[in-house]
Amino acid sequence: MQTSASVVTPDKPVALMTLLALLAVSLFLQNEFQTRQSLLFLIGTGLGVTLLHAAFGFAGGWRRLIRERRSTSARAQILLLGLTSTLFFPVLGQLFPGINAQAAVAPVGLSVLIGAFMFGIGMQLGGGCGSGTLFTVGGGHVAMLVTLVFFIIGATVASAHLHWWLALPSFGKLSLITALGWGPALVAQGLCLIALYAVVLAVERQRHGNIEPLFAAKTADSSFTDRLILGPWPLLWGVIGLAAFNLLTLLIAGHPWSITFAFGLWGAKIWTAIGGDAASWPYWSSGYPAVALSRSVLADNISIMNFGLILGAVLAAALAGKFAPEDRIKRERLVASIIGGLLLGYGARLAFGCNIGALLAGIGSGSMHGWLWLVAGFTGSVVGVRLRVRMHLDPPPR
Amino acid sequence: MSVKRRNRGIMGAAIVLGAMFVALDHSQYRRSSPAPVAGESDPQVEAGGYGSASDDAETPVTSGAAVETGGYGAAGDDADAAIGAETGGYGIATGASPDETGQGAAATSTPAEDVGREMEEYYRRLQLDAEPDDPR
Repeated sequence: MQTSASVVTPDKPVALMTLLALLAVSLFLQNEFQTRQSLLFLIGTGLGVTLLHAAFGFAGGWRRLIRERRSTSARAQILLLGLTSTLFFPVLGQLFPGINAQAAVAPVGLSVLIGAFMFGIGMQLGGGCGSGTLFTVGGGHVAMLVTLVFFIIGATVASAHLHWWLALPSFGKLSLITALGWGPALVAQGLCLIALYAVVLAVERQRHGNIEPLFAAKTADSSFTDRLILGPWPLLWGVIGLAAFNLLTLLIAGHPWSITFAFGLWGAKIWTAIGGDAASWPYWSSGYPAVALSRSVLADNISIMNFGLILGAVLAAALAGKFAPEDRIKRERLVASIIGGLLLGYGARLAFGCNIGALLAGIGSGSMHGWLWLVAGFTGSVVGVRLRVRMHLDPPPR
Repeated sequence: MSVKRRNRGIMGAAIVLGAMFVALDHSQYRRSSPAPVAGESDPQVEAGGYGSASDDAETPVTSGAAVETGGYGAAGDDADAAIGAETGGYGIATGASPDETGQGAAATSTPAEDVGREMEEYYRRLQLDAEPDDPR
């Protein structure tokens, strides 16, 4: 969609209130915890601004590839995976011994296969992936608020069942960096990503006879500063911004950017607050989950980054004059949001994360579970796109 | 009422509810956590709570790390060690900052002396601010 900066009317009251809220929360975190928590909150804010201004969603991009054979967004995602790997591999491969960062490496097993497949269906029905749900909620899309609520419920329920799923067969953890060393691993993964890029290009060219330019300017008549502040951004800016903020997260938090652990945590805390006993569930009774459940939600890195992401998206949407658009929620959309949200949450917990925590962080860390997630999640999305037609959310494909 | 106005109202209510959840959760955490005392060993650091697990009274801050949140407390007595907690938060031992694998991350590379300065400031604030019956 072509948007001209000349017609952008920032929602100044919302933008101002959001800026004040960002300042207040970051100062509070700095005072109450550490500078690090404040920095992570602001990194989350940067991620929210980037996602909204660049309209960088995984679910919509995959749907467009499946339905229309247009690969613009899919190619941008592949570039993001490549850039993230290039930035992460030397750090995770201990090229800089002073930096102590943990790779997102998880077992390659049935739980990932099933969970990512469920997530793939859910992201099409719910209308957003992990990051997409958060930034569209920040943009004021009420239907996505429903998806988010059921995303949280799904993640919480899955955390009660996770021990059963993790007992299913698995090949264990498979890390390219561990197996090959970071240099050869980066070359091998880069070749795989180039091959994938060539495949989606060929799919688009075969259907349309041409290729949509990846980084076409959406606003030709606005200055760089206007575009930076008011948006919209070209996808290239989104790729660079997301990779850079992800690297900052790795360096400051000690782990890659992730999202959905916090959803389960919020759900478990709410369950506990209304009289439940989430602390007795195996998942929440040991290790970091037990610690996270027992202390303030503001002490959890992922939670504060999610809060920052939502507020960043509110700010970007207000600056772009897009906050809380006129969405009329139809019954079909509501039902799809509920089902999709549950599948998103349940699937993400089984698969060790969503498109960010498992796909981007997994592949960016050289973990094979990220590649399995990609295959299973995309297959689930193919099913989800068909279900959208059956549920009258989309017209039949041409 | 226009759809846009209604949507803004719903979003505003959602943000307020979310903020209330965070505020209530955080206040509950603060009420249940006792205050650390500089130089004293406090086993709560092992559960992610307040205090330093250091047994070295001369280096309670540097080895105790960022103990006010329970997130960064160190179990060791090595002032040069990076931040870590045995079970709490972001530590080296078992804790760790979470990624989606649930395994956690290694400690950050924040120098111990930076943490020390932050903790000295924290203890100074506590001494200035805390009332005798302060539940912290």
